[in-house]
Amino acid sequence: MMDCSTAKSKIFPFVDGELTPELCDQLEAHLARCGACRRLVDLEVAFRETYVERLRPDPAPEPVRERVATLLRGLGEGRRAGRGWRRVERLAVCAGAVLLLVVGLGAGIALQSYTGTRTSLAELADAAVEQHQKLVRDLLPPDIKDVSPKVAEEWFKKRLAFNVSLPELKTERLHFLGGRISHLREIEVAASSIASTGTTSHSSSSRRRPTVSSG
Amino acid sequence: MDSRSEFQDLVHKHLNSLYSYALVLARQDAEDLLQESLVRAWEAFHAFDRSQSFKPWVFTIMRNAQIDRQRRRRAHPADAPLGDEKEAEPVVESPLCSIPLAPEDILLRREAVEQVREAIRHLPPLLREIVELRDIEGLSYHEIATILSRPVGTVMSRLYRGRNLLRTYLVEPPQRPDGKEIGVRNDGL
Repeated sequence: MMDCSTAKSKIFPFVDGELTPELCDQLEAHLARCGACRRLVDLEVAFRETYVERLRPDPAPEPVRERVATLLRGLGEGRRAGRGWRRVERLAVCAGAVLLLVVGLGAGIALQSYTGTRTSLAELADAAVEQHQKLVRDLLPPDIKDVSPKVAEEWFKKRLAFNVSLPELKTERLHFLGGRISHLREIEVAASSIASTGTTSHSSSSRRRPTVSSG
Repeated sequence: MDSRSEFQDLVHKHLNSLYSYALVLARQDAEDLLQESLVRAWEAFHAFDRSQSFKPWVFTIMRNAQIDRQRRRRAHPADAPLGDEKEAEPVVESPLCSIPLAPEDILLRREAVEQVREAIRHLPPLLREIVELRDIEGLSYHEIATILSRPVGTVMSRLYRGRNLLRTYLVEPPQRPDGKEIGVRNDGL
């Protein structure tokens, strides 16, 4: 026979439908003869019906939806393309990380001086390196791609509070791969990728050199 | 339907849940965590068991991604220590009468659903995570235990504590930094 103390400890899993059939039978037998515990169950059920069952997850903001849609559209392509580039990209990670680290530190100093953000330079540098590694490893796919640098500049301009300047690519060996907006802690960062295509033994591989602007 | 279309449909269907869980895990970096998790999930999608639910599967990937992120960077005070939480606590056997507030009192106060939602947001991270997974996402104890890599007993214990604390918050709302109470109605109810 289940006592009141044990019965009360089983009310949450009972209402959740998580009790084993055996325990469920024992609790129901107890509830049939104990009005006080029965009332607690009724109140818990009423609380669920009134509030819990009407709770919904936070809706994803529209800009997030747009970027996820872009990501999903590019998933298959990115996976195929990524295979051919990965070896060279891995080699580029270390050198590129240093580049990004320097840019990130500069951005951090400037930002700290005028926004008063509490993000420390060390944290910003860590986040910048991590961000860079994700970019070159295709873990953070671009928000925009297959456009010219000028179009990408305009795209960034509409979404960021600072201007992003991208270089004109005057040689066919250089290709603008894409751009992305991310957050390094509290700071918005615009990242872009440019590919330099090899002309001899590396015809199927490219070197990607992410650049970062921040404001 | 090819696997890419299937994956896209599943992500769109569960996007609110995915973004909401990313907010629980990473807050400021939620969008980056979401995107990184989706890329990882796509890469592993060929091994996804279609007889299982997609949501707990991708939640597990997201949580592991967040643990990897935290390992890569120094601990940040704003991030919950997902990987180094204490091991399983025993299931709490104390009765519901130890709850500081009878559910009836809450019902009489007619708290708005949004105020309950707000109170959940102010739970400690580990308790909030479990309350959200169960009461908002509707996952089973077993699914939550799998996501957290913890025994079902730990899930039950934390859920019990989280729900009790939630009821406490509905009576005595936690204070915001500006001193205002959270979740208190102004209409006298």
